[in-house]
Amino acid sequence: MVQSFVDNRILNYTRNIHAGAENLDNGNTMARVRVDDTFLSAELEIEVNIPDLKIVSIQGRIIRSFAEECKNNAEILKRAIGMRVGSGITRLVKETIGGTNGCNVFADMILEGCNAVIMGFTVDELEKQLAAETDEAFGQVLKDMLENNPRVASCIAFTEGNDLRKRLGV
Amino acid sequence: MFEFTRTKSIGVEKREDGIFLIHGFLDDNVYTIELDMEVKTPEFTIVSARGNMKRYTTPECPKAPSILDDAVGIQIGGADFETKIKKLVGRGGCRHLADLFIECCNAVFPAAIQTQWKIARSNGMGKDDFIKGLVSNEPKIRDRCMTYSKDSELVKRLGVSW
Repeated sequence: MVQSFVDNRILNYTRNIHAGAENLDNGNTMARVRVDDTFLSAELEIEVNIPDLKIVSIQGRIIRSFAEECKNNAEILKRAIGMRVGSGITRLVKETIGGTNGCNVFADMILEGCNAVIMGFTVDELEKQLAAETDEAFGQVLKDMLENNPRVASCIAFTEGNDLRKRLGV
Repeated sequence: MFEFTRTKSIGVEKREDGIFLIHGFLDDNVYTIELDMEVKTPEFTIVSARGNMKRYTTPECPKAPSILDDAVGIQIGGADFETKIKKLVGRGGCRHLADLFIECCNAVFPAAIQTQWKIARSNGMGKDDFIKGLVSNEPKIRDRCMTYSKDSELVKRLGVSW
């Protein structure tokens, strides 16, 4: 007879990703990425030069993998040195680091690290914006953001004619 | 000190009717996002997707998960899958929600492999034989990366060709 006590099942696949970015004493930014899933465990460090945002050093390793051969893939990371964290990086990394002649795990981890670097720049700005204590001040912050940001149609907040824009008269 | 940290956690369970349930969670300095999806196999078609923006930056952000209804029926995989999702869920909703959505979708295939491996292992099959079968029968694996390319050491060692 089928048990009916609980409807829970054991997870048959789990994946945890952690990415962080920190400023170094030399003025550069270091991104660290860690991936652990049912099949593999990998870590990556990327140092990005500020202000030109070029990758100046990168190292990583696959610690655990389903196919032992994956552990030999770290050499390809050198291909990322000199890449600029900016427009076009996704395609460049996927084509250069990932794909048939590369490693998609490392490609995804590099992009995760690049995202952490970029998000690191936005946190300070967002903290200032979200610190506004009155509706008027917060409204002004949002208005400035919508008016001065070129990312029209990049997400629901920047969609032309949305409720927020109408409310703020943008 | 960290300027920014992001954690993404994905869990996949397989229901007895063959539907995979995927739970995704993203937490960083700026956003907290939750996602629950159902994917039907072997077609790898999205059956349902529900999201919740728990921490965000603008009053429009909580509306973003409603765009997930438009993702129902999409088949996971293919060369332009990520581009399609970034456009649909990212531009139409939230790019961080799209990021988590893609992560959840990418977890279904390895979850299906894990299910097969669990059965194979319990039947006494070794890892090499399992990989050989996988590469021989699963086009998605072939030439996916340097480990599973036709000229790789692994594929040569296992004596598989295509």
